[in-house]
Amino acid sequence: MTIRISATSFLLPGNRNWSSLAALDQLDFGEYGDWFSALASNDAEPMLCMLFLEDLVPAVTESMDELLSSLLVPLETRLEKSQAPTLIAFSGWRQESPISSARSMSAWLQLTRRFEAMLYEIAARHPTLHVLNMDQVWSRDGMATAFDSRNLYAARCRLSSHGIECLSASALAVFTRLRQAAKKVLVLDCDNTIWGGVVGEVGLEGIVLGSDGIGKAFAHFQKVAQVLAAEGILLALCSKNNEEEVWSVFDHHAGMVLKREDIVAARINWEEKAGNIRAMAQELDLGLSSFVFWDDNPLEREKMRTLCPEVVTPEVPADVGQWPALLRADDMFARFAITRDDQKKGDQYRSRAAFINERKNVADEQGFLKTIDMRPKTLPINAGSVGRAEQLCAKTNQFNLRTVRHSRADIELLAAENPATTFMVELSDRFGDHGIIALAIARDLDGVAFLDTFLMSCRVLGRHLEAWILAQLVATFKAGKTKWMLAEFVPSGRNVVAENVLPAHGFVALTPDSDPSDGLLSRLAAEHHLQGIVYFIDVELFSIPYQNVFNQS
Amino acid sequence: MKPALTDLLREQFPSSTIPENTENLAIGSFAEWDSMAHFNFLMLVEENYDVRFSVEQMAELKSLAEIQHALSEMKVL
Repeated sequence: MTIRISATSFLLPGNRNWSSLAALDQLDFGEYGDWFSALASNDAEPMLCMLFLEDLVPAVTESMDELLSSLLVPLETRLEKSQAPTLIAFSGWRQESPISSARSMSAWLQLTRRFEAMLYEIAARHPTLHVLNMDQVWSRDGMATAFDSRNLYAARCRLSSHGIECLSASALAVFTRLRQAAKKVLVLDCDNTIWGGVVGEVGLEGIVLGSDGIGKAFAHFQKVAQVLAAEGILLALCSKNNEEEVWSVFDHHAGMVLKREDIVAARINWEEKAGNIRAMAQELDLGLSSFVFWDDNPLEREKMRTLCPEVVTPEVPADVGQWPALLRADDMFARFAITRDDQKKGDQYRSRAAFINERKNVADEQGFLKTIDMRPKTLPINAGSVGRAEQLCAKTNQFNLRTVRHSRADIELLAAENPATTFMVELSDRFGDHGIIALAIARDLDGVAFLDTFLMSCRVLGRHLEAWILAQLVATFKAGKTKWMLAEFVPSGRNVVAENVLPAHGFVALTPDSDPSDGLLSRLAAEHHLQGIVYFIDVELFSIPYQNVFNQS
Repeated sequence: MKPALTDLLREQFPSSTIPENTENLAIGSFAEWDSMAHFNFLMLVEENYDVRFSVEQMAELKSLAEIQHALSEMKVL
């Protein structure tokens, strides 16, 4: 692909400071000063257009809005014609005396604010428009480092090397996010990462956290992580410690900002961190490429980069004081918008973490489950719900017996043919409303019921909900005088967690010796190409455990 | 160690064939080395030698030899 670049003044095509963006795509700078016609004509390619208000507005006049709108006409034209992303970078910076805006905002400042507001108004109407406020970006290192009057007078380029470098990097960040989702999980080390010192050596009292000096920086770093968590980023711990010592800091250290319930997964042990992160990826049902690993120890970082190259392992500075700002401003987790779903997602994982933590502390599992007031409910597949069923089929990797990715049309057909045994399940309990989290489809093979699809979101694992769902199916079959039920586990590499579900609930592996049906079940399994591990039950004789833990009222 | 000017020339023109004899190289020595590319090259030299050329120097320094001379006058060589 090519990115079309244009601007109101020269941007020095071929300058080495463009190399970050040039590594993503070919850059086509067009002709000098062609931004107006480039916007209006070029419609197939992504575009970066850099507007300097100083170039656009020679003098501030009364009819500001009119002037600014007329400048934005070609942009609107492009947005109406083109599906390709348009990135408008703008700068309204010019040096003014602080006196000129001391009593009221100077005319120039008003103009820049108005221009920015107009761009965002257009962005609200056009999803392909992205806005880059370069003054905000450049101000990090100071405007004087971004502009260069020598380049302006010698080459009609307003920017310095550094100014171009920042523009290139910012555009790269936006174009990259358009192609790749943001990271989802921040994995934190503990000692010298979320607090100072090694808790195993200096004890709870000896760690540096919350006190003035660097202790404040650690606390602030935790705060930034917590804000990310509130925006839907999942927090996890991966540290080489004795686990109880780490949780003791969480429970008892007054300086801790992060709470146990902020942490959705943890591997605190003396194993290699790469293996631990892989295990957490399985547990959370997320790919390794969604993970960011933050550790103060250069050796651990290097090992992670070597053993898990998919995980992003930033090179963190030795100065912890820089960490809060770095983490907050990093592109890795930044998204164009934070939706209500993002915020809820964090809650769902957190409620799962809370559930697991509570369950860990009780010896009597069934007694515990009775106290959490689980209220499962079946939902029929209909026009309003089939979308969720399709999404569950597409996205559920772990608790999924056969991992058949049914299309919407397939599901509609299966539901029409087997209305009583094709349903989704929603669940609420003391830990929250989990929404629609499971799908079961059983269809008829010559009078034998076959469990075509049985999947469940990993966020409600550990509740024996699978037993309740199987019980609903079996009750239907009993009422319908179905004698046999067949089921199959097909290993996918990611569904290990579902491997023992069938035998654990009384299903028997089907072999020629175990087949009690005069070969009927074996014949059906062969005819329908069931090549995984095939199980059966005799519906009449079957009873499913754990039913008493649910609130069925 | 600062990179040699010829190394910077290779960095600025990664896909160009740079003549073996670098002594008399200047703007126009090969097709891609036009005045705009030269401006970019001078900026690359500035960044690597931590110097700053004036408006006049940006116009006057046209060959490797002239750049070399300016850098030694700035005492960075």
